[in-house]
Amino acid sequence: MRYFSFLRVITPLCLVIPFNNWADNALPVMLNTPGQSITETKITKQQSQQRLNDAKSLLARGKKDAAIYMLQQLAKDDPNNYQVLLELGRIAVESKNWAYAIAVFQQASKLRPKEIYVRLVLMGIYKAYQMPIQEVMVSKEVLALEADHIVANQRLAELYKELAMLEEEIATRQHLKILLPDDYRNLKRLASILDEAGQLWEASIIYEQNEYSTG
Amino acid sequence: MTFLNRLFTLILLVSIVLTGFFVPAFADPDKKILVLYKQRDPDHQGLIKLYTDFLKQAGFNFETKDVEKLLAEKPDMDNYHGIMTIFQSSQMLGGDVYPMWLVKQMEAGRQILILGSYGAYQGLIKKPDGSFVEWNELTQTINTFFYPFGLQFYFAFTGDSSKLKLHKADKQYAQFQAPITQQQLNYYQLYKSVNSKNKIFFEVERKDMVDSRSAFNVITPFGGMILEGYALSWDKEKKQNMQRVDFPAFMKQVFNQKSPNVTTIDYKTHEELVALNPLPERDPPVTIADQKLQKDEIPRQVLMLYKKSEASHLEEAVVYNRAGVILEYLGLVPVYRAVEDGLPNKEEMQGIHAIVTWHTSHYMQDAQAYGDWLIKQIENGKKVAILENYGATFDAKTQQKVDNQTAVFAALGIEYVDRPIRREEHIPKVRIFDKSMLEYEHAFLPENITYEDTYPSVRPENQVFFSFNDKAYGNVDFGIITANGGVSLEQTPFYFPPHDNERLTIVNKAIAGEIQPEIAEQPTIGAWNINPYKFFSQALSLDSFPAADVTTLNGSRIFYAHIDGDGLTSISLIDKAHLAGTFIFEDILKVYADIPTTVSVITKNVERLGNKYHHPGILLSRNIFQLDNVEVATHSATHPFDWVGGDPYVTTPDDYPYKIAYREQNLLEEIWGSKLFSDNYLAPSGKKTNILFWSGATNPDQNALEIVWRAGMHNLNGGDPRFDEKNPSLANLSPYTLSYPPYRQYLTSAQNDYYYTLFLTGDWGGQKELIKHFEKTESPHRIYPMNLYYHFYSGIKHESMAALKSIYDYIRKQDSANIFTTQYVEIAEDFYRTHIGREGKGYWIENNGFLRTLRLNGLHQVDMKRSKGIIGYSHHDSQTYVHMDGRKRRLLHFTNQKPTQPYIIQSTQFIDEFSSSKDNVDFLYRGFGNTLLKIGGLHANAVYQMTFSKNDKPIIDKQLMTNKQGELTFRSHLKAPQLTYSVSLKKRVLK
Repeated sequence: MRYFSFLRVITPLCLVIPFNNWADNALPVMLNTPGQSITETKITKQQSQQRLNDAKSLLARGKKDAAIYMLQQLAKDDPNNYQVLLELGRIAVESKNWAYAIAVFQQASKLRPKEIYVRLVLMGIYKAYQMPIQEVMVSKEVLALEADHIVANQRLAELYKELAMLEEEIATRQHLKILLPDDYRNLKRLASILDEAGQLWEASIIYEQNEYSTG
Repeated sequence: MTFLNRLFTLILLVSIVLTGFFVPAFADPDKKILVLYKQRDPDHQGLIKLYTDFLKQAGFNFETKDVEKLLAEKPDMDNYHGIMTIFQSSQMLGGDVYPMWLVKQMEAGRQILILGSYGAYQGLIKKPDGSFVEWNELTQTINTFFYPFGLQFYFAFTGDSSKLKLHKADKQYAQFQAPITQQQLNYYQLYKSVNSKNKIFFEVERKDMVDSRSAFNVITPFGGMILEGYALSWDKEKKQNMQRVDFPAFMKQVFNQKSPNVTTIDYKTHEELVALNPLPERDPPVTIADQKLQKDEIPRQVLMLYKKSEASHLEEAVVYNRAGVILEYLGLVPVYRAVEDGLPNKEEMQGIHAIVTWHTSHYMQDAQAYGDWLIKQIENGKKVAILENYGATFDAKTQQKVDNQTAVFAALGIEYVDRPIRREEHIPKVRIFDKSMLEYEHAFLPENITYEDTYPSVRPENQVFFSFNDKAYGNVDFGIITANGGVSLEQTPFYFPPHDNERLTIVNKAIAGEIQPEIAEQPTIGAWNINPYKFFSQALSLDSFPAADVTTLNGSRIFYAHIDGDGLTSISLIDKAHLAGTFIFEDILKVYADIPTTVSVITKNVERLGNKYHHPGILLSRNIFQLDNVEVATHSATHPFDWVGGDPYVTTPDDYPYKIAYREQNLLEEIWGSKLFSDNYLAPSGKKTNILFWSGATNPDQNALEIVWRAGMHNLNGGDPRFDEKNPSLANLSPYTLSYPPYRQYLTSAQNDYYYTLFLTGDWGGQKELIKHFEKTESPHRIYPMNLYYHFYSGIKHESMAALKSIYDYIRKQDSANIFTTQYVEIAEDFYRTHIGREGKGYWIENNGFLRTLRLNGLHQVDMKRSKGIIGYSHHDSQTYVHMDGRKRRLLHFTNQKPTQPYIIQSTQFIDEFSSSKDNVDFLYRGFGNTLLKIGGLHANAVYQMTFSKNDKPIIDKQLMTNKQGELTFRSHLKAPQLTYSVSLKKRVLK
């Protein structure tokens, strides 16, 4: 006889599970019941893939909650399974469980330190939920991977503006000026903040360039 | 075996046989019991043999079927009278539809008997390769059968005997042939009995879990269950199984029962409700700004001007987020206007008492016209307060300096001197530094003030509270109160760290990973240099201005509590079995039954959590809403995060990389649909859902507010004010509302558990700090009522529950006016529509009767004889709080004497229809919980009889004695619900 337990874990709202170990690499423990601990087992890659497919087949049959539980179990038993985390994160976004979505995508981004897309997804979630500091952090990760990524540069410049980080905003906009020399908005803002920072000469050059770019 | 033992065994066997043969079954002899087994169970044949023998003994015919085949075939069940299941394993093909199939059998009148495992805790789907997809079924799926059956299943398994405690073990149906011992309790599942007609024979609880009594062996009106592990006992000596249950008798009891009807919860979806019930039409609310001044009315509105170029949304405007709450406390109704939207005309200015500007930049659209308009307003007698920057030195379009700034300042009694930019460094000497006005929240550092132009005070009667003596320019006055208003220029009014360096340091640390990012997500607030109460009082001549007050009811500080529905159905980590909502229900709402709490749920989430046979979401919500101390609210249908911009979703779910987009909110369903669902299916009769608590970013727009208004609801949430040692500025307090004319978003009076726990990443007990906010907002100025604001997810941890309890315990010790949240919001609504006028040397006060406190500076005595609708007054912090009744228009007169007829000094609840003579006082008292009444103006050292009656029946009858000042204090506790009592106080004539 196998005993088990199930909790409804993806709550539809904001985070309801503690993140005391926020700096930990581990995904937050969502379930902690005697029954669950019995199901903790080492599994092979093939088994892991099989269970992921099983979860997807449950999702396809409309058994979302069962699929979530299966995916969470899988994330625990096979913490390096990137696809599982992506699937869980997607469901969490759909369920408006943003905190869990963030935790899952963060974990996924740690698994793929050179992957840009998961970081762009995280940026989108941070933006939606108004968490500028975290968004800056992940935007910088994107730029560390691809310094000329336009969307990340643009967003980072906006974030620095929001956070009143003048020096950082100037540097980012200067870089954007090289990437997008005709970006009127960027030039306008850059000139204005250079002016504000007392770099009048540099500001005047940009003002001129801006006039030229806008015809 | 001894002879006696043999004899006993013989008697036992004979009795079994006799009972089986001679007690006839009541069931239709043509009908049979369907015995369900699982072909996949290894010993299914042995089980069939064992249990069908008992069936035979009980006198029933039967047929056997493999349940998994049966679910696939769905055969005609007409020939069966009842169903008996004998499963060993917990997985089942079709385990997801099995409970629904069982409940349909119950509805058809068939009794269900479960012997051993329920058998479908896990569902299975067969894959083409013959293996299975296996998943754990939800409790709500399992309870689709168990709940109407009479039991409620929870995942709370343990096999640890030391955690179990035997509560009941019936001789016949739990210890029939073998006694049960503590060591034999080695299997526990939680099946709570939820039908009062259940007959429980074997009951066990977990010592480490609350509310954990589980019915192992039980007969319900719909059948019976013998939990797996407790049907038989292996006798080592006899080497045979002994029956723990007298099975034939048990079977007869079960299958001879007639099933009652299955109770269901029928409900319509949100979509259906909205389609069936159009949102009612309703005229928009009339605002104070729409109404013409009445005769002798004192204008209460203050025009608060800001620039959209500085603040894209009102919330960002410093005139709103710093000055707003102070002016409201002082009794004014702020009317916010972006100068880009045009300046008010003469008619609009009629009800305006004063104008406050707090610009931070020199440029303004139509700057010249702005200055001309301002001069006209000063000439028309409007008081004008200018903070930080005049704001219209240059025209934004032409970039040219205007030529009327001098005239504007001259109208205020101040000279404006346009100075050239100075290249040399100059450190002026401080000439005037009025400590009573400055250094209010922050050390005032004159050296931080930078200036070019100067503003010397020219009228001798002006009061200068801060001035430099500049070697080159002479007197440079930055803080001046004049007969026409006042100015507090440049950095004098408010300290904000230059370039926000303090926060930048924190932000950089967070970005570098040195500190938790959540700590850095909170923006810098800054602090007042000037005393804003004093500055605005003096500049706008408010010292003798009667202030409508939202903080106090009959001399008692208002307290209200409200819960957002988040986390209602989350599993609590306290016992990992019950819902967080259950802990809040059991340990807070039921325990603190003397304190009103307004509770919301997220209705569509509730709707989704169950079906018509078992609906834990609806049941728990109903249980909560039925409490007399609970008021019903909604937290929307699905908890939108961004009410305007929409919530994120993945647009490419099957195609990674995912793309995030934003889905527009269905406002009608979120607000109106949610109210309809709550009113129809959650609220008990006599209660309606009258308030919506904004969710997520709490950023409704005018459309959302209009729907709330047309739905006939009030609204609350947003603001998130906090004032304590960690947030030591009044600027961290939001105004009472955010205005979207003609609607208002009402804001909370405290932060909630989400913030106090640092977004749930810090100390879960952090909300106990709320008491410090209560204390700081009480003295020296009672600027806010007390508000406890939390979510159901506080029921997840011991620490958060302890914090809540500490706050409720604190409130129990206060003589506060504990009212429902809607009642507070009604008071706040009345604040914005209260009209006050002169009546000789007194006042008339008009509103809808909800706001009942008028506050005046100084210690006044009220003339109770001449006043109308005034029930008393009290003094607090050098102020007079005048208590009014619920009529719409009251008259207030003063006297130099203490009243010689009775009056209310303090009451913790509402009072109406107050009438008194020297010997008698009569009034209606509405409320529950802590009841304090202090009455003055009575005979000194006299005995009075106090009687509280309901429907002419005395509830409380008490003799009380006044003190030598003729004052009397009465204390009691009234049970919820909030009722109206007739109260009489009669002087007793002692013989």
